[in-house]
Amino acid sequence: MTKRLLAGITASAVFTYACTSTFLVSKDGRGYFLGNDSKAIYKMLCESGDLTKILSDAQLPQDMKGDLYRYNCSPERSGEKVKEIYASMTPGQRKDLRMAFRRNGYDINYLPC
Amino acid sequence: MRRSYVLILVFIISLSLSARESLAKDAAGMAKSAPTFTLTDITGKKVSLSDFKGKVVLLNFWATWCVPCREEMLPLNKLYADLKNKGFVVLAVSIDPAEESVKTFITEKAITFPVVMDSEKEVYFDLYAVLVLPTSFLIDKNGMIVEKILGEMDWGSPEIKEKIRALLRMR
Repeated sequence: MTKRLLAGITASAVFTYACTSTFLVSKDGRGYFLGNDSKAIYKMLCESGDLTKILSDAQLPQDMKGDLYRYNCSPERSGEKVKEIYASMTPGQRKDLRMAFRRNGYDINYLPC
Repeated sequence: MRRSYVLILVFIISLSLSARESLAKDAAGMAKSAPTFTLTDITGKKVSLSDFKGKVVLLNFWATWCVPCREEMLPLNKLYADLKNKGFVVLAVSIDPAEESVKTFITEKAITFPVVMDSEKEVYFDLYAVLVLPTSFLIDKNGMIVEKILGEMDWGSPEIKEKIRALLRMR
């Protein structure tokens, strides 16, 4: 009984109830977490050339653009790194990136849950 | 076996407490000033964060499509009703793409605190760099962010009420 109770409490503590925990982009009804190691997002953002277009549209420092490309479209893909870059940006840079995604048909952090 | 469960539980609770991030502080550990903004509420009126200067503000980012956000709204309404006369305000920022669903929800649930629309995500994404919904910022009377709370919170808990009361007592 105690075991079951503890397991129940543990399970409810594990489940931090929130929507999205990272940077999510969506297009044509499909959403993906940036930096995620999935073929689908690689195809959508990298193979299609969309991220190259988005980054060339955005007025961001070259090293930031390079890091955003590297952590989304190279074997070094990392959602954590993408979040770090996002957190380090100025409000103006975040706006610029958001608008560049939008101009290329993407929405940011829209995930019904 | 029981001891292992207790240890796991303690570990998880400490992880969950860490969701109350100290992102409210800068690299030197100092509290950050809450960036001010002006948005339009669901009645069409302009509302600025600076309108609430001198009050303790709970800035809550939410959306009607976010289930945990919806579940927070009634406890937040109760908290607001309990403490608004003491100088506490809840300011909810909706990132819904359109205001119809927000208006319907607010009316149905009889929400009384101000709700503003940020459909462009200028405040949510650009200014406050929010990624998790719901996310709440507790802002003191001097406009400083004292706590950033990620995910759904029990707004009826004595702990949070005491925290807000302590901020209300401060100058």
